[in-house]
Amino acid sequence: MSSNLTEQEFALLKRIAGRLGRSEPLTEKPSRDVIGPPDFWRQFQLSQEEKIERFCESWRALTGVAETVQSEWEAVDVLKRWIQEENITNLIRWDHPELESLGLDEPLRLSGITVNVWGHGDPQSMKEIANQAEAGITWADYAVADTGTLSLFSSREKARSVSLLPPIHIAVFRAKQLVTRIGEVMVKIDEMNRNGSLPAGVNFITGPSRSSDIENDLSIGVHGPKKVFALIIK
Amino acid sequence: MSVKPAMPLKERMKHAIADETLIEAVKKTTDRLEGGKLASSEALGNWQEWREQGSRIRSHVVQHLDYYLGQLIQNVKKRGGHVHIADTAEHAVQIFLDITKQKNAKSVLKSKSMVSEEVHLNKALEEIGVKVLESDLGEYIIQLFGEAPSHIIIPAIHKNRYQIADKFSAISGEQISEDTPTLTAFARRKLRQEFLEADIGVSGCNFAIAESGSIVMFTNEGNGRMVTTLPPVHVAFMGMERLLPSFEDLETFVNLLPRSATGQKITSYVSVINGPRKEEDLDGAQEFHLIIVDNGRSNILGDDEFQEVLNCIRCGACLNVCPVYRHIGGHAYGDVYPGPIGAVITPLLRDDMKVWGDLPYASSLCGACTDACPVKIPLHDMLVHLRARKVKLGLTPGWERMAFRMYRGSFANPGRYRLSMRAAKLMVPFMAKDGYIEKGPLHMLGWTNARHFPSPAPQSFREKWAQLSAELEGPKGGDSK
Amino acid sequence: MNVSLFITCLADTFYPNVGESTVRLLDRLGVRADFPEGQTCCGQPAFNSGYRDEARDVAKTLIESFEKSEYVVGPSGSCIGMIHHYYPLLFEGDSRWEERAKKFVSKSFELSQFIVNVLGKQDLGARMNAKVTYHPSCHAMRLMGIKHEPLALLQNVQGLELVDLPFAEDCCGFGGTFAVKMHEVSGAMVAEKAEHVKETNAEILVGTDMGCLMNIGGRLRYEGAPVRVMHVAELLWEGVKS
Repeated sequence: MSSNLTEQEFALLKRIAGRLGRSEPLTEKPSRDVIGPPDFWRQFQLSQEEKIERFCESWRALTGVAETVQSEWEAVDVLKRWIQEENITNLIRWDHPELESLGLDEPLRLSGITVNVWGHGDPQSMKEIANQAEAGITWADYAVADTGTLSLFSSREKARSVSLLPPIHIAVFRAKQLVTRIGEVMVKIDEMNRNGSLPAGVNFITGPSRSSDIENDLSIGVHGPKKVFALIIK
Repeated sequence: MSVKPAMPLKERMKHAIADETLIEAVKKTTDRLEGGKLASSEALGNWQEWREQGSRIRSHVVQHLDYYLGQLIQNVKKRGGHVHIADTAEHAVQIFLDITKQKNAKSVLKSKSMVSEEVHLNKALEEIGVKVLESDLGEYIIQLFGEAPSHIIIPAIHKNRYQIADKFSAISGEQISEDTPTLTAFARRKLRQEFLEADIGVSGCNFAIAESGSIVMFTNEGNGRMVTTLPPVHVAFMGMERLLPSFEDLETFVNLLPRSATGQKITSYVSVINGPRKEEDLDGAQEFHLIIVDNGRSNILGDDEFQEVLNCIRCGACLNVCPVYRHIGGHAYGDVYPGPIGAVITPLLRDDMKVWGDLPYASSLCGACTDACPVKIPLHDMLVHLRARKVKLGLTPGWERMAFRMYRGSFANPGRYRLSMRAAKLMVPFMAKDGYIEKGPLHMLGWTNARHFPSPAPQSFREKWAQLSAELEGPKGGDSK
Repeated sequence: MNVSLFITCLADTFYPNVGESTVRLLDRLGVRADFPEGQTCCGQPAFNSGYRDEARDVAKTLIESFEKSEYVVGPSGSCIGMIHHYYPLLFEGDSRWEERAKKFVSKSFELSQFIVNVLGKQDLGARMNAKVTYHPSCHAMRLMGIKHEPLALLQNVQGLELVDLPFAEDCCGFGGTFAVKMHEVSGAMVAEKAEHVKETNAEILVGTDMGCLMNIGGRLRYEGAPVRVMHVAELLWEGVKS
């Protein structure tokens, strides 16, 4: 295990081991009986309907907008409505097959809205486009009902900037992507790590950017999005 | 690093108590945070079980830190990240300066990192002419004022909106009004360009995951995401003990940390960075450096009395419940970590009881910190242990050593105890009035500055006992009077 | 039932009435307490200041003086808390004293805890027409886990109007030597506590620990506030005897 450690790294481990009463750093995985959340918590499981309800409730409690629709074409309607209501003229979306297949771009472009797709350009100009966009649209990998949290895994097509730079973030996902507890996603991340498919970044997003740093006064949209929308397709 | 506070603790406290604006702000903030914590932990339910779980996971990690740290280091490298070991604060700063030089960096943008505060990174960067900017709203504010954070979670607790508006107006040359949305919008505008142009982003690390070589940050503003997504280089500072074995364990801390810190169920962002961006990715830092800082932490390992303090997850809950912190704020503690946790770890990390040995006395030992700690660190016990250490090192004042020798002399001997109690009583008529001493001599003066002190009763209980006992034994038995 | 009173040095010297009320109250409950005269102090002032050797010698004196007792009852959560929380540590690995210390721990009780949990009584038949507020002492609450016991006793006093003390669980700033050593902060803390007491408009402030009550009472007197300060034993005995 200590094979590819530098001298300095090894010296630190050796110092730690010494303080803990071992002559050499431990290289065998220590056994343990406490892993993850308390047992009672693992039993916590909501039904599909409850998950949708709990997610929307939690998301709205943080000023988020959440709606549930039955079909893709209904989803397009809601997205169009949101975009119009927010007077968005310029947006960016993930290059995600599900978003692609919604067929949202054409109707938006027809009504004069610029739709940028992440990845169609060099990194520097993409960053600038995302920075100028008034809204970013993503497709959540998972959503957590308990806390009202989106989980986004990064990739070439699924840039972290899209959910971060524009003042409005709109996330779409299917009801089946909902889990009850955040720990269910954590276990999946552990699995991805073990099978070598971990993305460079995972973001759990719960509501808008916020701060209470000035006189304890809550203010929204400090650096990240000020408004957040979640659309659940059943 | 031999850092010394400008004046002794007692002086620092006196200044702080006299600052009414500060104390009012501190009380307001700690009330809000504590209230939020109580409400959200109650809503979660089974709080004690969560604490127990958190404590056991952290204790396991610290007890096997050599294994988990080794695992982390290898996994960070496997993901293409660079690992640096900093034994001391100076060393950590040097490592960072080397990175800036190598990258020819002109500007550094930081999100919140207590460890970078601990090693005094900003000062070193300013000295070599590298622009360094804090992007957390509170940190940004106090940086503009040239001050240090006064709370782990809410750094600018001691500044009010008028002071902030004046400062923003001064740096921008325009009139910025004092309402929060305007102030926030100003910071957003001002810092957005900086995020896009910075050469290096710096972050802290709430937890590192050993099994995957990841770092995890809990943030609310989004600046933590900015500094790790936009600049080409991301450097994370990590206290060497801040590890969890796997993501599965993280669930417990997602439930414990934000609730304990701000009363939120979860922070707006929990961001996981698994090293630099993938080759094909179009955003995220291209280079990732992890600076693992010891800076005195290994002194604490293996020390039965204090090892558990390394379980700390820096939530600040102990500050919010501490009556002493509430009355003096963070700066009076003289170093980076304030409140009960600061009073415990500052002398230990600095390994200097001579300079920092007065901090453990900044507590009435009420135990509120221990009760509030989400990972069950017995902070108030540790404060007593530190005092014992100071006594053992012979660093307490001579008069105090003498006083406790006298205390032993009389209190460990019932005969002498009776005599000395009687002797003390003889002094009283010279000082007391209506059964109270209103202005005491010497050390008692401190007491009587704020309250009266009772005189000893004319007859002590033991002097009364014979009579009382006889009365109860009397004909009427247990029904006297 | 062989019960011994641990008066505590503070009550012995300054508040003998607390001891007397305790003994009379127990007597009324059918428990005759004795008073081993070898007792002095639990050692807390020295222990909390870091003087372990000094604390240990004083603690030994206390353990010895109660060696024959079946129960040790003290009117202070702080002193009893010292025994429960720190004696095992103080005598850890001491072959002569470790067992004796543990035995002592297992038989010592704070007064309200003894009445409610050992004697199983909550209604002592006391009456008092007064508006009262209760300050829960930190050590009783946090070292001993005593929360409902004193309240149960007070709630059963007929005629008593018990009003909540705002921020009741905040420390009053006593902390033993803290009050002298860090008197500026301690003074600010007790001023705040007294403010909260006054806000309740209670006639009586009641508590389970004379350390805290000496501190808060001293502040109230300093301010000239007409609030009577009583130990729970005093209040209960006064309510029972009339």
